[in-house]
Amino acid sequence: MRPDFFQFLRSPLLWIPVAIAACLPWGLSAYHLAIGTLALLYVSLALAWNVVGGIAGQISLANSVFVGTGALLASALYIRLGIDMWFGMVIAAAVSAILGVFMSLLDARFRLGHLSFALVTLAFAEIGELVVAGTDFLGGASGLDLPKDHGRFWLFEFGGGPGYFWAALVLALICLVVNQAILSSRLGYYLRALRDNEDAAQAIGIELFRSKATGMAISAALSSVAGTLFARYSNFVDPTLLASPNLTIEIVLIATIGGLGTPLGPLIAALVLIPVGEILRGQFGGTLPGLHFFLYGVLIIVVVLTSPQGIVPRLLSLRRRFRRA
Amino acid sequence: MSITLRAARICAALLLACLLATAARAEPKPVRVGVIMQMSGPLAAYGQETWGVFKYMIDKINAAGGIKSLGGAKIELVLADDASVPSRAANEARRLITDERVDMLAGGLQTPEMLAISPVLDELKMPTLAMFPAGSASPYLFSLNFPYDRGYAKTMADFLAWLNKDKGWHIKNVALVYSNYEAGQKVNTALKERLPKLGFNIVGEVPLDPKANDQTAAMLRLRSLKPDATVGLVRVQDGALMDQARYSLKIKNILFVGGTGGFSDEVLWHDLGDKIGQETLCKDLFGLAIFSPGSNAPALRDLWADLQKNGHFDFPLGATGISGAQGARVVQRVLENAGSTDRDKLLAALKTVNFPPGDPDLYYIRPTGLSFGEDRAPKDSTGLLIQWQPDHTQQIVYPPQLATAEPRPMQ
Repeated sequence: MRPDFFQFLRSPLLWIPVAIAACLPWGLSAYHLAIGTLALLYVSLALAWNVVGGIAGQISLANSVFVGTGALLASALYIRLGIDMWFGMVIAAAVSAILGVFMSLLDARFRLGHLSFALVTLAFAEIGELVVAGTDFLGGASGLDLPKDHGRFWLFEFGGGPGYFWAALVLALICLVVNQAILSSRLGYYLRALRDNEDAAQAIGIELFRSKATGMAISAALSSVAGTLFARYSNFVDPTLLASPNLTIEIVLIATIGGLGTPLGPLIAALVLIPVGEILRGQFGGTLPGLHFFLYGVLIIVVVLTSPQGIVPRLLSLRRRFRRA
Repeated sequence: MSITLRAARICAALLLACLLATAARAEPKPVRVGVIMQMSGPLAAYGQETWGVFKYMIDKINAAGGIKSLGGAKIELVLADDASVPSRAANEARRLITDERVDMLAGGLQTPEMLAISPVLDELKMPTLAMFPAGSASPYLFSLNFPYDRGYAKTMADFLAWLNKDKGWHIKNVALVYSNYEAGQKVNTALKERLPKLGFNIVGEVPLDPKANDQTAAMLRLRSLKPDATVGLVRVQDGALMDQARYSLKIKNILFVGGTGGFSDEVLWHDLGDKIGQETLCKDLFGLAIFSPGSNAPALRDLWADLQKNGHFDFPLGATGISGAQGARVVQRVLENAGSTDRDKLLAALKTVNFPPGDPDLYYIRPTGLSFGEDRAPKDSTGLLIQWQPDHTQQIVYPPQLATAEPRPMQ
């Protein structure tokens, strides 16, 4: 692990915003707190995807499978078999990691290019949605309705708005630290080398399958944990949201607009786009329905045209230029 | 001079105060009703139709003097768009209750949205009327729609049994054809329990993929099962694709029974065209409907004529819009009966709301009227079975007490 990781962990730039965020439940209304929780869950999802999509440069469109596994499998194990949701979360994360490794195996075995990999993972996402819709144990197309939350932490119940906000904050922090840890570790170098030139990376001894599979397993497990928390927070596990490829598209858009490869990009983009979308819909949903979709579209076009690398890399390069000047 | 001026000012101030007081008495505080609809996203067509008719009716109620028991208070609607995403519906419910401070909630909520907002309603104890969920998961939420089992499945299964028993048909083998989504699956599960008890033999299932652009494969499978009849819940787009495939494969000698949109929505004629419509909708097909313009009920006939003439909607009217109109009347009746915006009184009014048969505000065609049962769903969940006429009109064939025609024999 490079020393900059430990610097990152000690940095007040990390802990001061976290401390401020942790105090928000005392200052925000229940509605704005719910938006904050949603934004933090998307931060986790975007950062989890960033491990594969950003750092490793593989456009994986299968993350809805992992999120859906975390949400539906953990919930189904709890409702149908009485398995504690903490344990269910671990089982679902392990299943997701295994699925992720399997996808990496396909990638390594058949030497899929970036485009083929994206298509294969999209196929997995579509299959995943069909499997969910056809499996009664997972609730089928109807989803699963979780029992009421009574605030029993040991049963994965966080007891209302503030509890879920803090849980989402902790998860987002874990995802951020994991991203930074990968970037500062040997794995991060391997993944970036493979992203930039797979043949050259292999020529210098980087193991293609092991590196990609490790990244994919981490990404899948984190996505799955976010899915479990999302499910418990919503109380109702909606397969049309949590197991749908549309969710992956949303995550990819957030990460891309923020800037791939850096943890800051997905983090900032999720913290801006989700609340803006929610508040726009809240304010204008009655008079201008669909405005938030329209603005999303406009924003993507603007970002793609002006800063194809994403907003954060663009801001960082402007800052460097400013400093030099 | 200055004393006169001061006196005049005091008089003017008193007069203004009196006027303001009178105005305040004349204009009672409006009742704020939060409305959650799918105004964008994949279910926007449903949400926009429901909202359009719901608002039209509320405007009519306001124009007719508002809520009498509240001194003529007007109903002020606060619309929220949930973008067809259940978790967003929960967030919007929270916003409407805590930030917009509405007195009551209503919405074109479907079952997943109902499940998603229920914890919020339980937490904030908000009386809510939902138009489309098949049941209620919160003691504060009442649904206008049929429950999946005793509404949809029972009506269709009983209709098949009635055809055999009272009309001498010989239906034995039944295939379950349904849209493979939440409601389709739930009704299918209920049918699988009910049909064998009525003596039917289920020969197989043919789920229709809601993402498919063609249902030929499903119809080929259906033909291979050789059923006497099919039954199930089918969405409009799947119903249109199913009928196109039926037409091109020339599937005959199978009776198609199902609901609701995929069999009885007027949009089907638009999607299929006249030629295919005549060959499929008008032959060997009965559709389950919550509402039918072919009904003789005066309240519904008048409403339908009013909406057609004065509504000026930019969407085709159907059962969804009628649900919006009925929802508006239930909101009005609840507010009238409660005579207050106190949540406990509104909840009590929801529990006891009653539209007896023949009520001028009862648009749903139900033999015993509209009121809520212990499960907060309509006590009378009798659906209608309709048959299409070549001129695109409908005839009600079941239940017998509401029928306007005899069921057409198989062709």
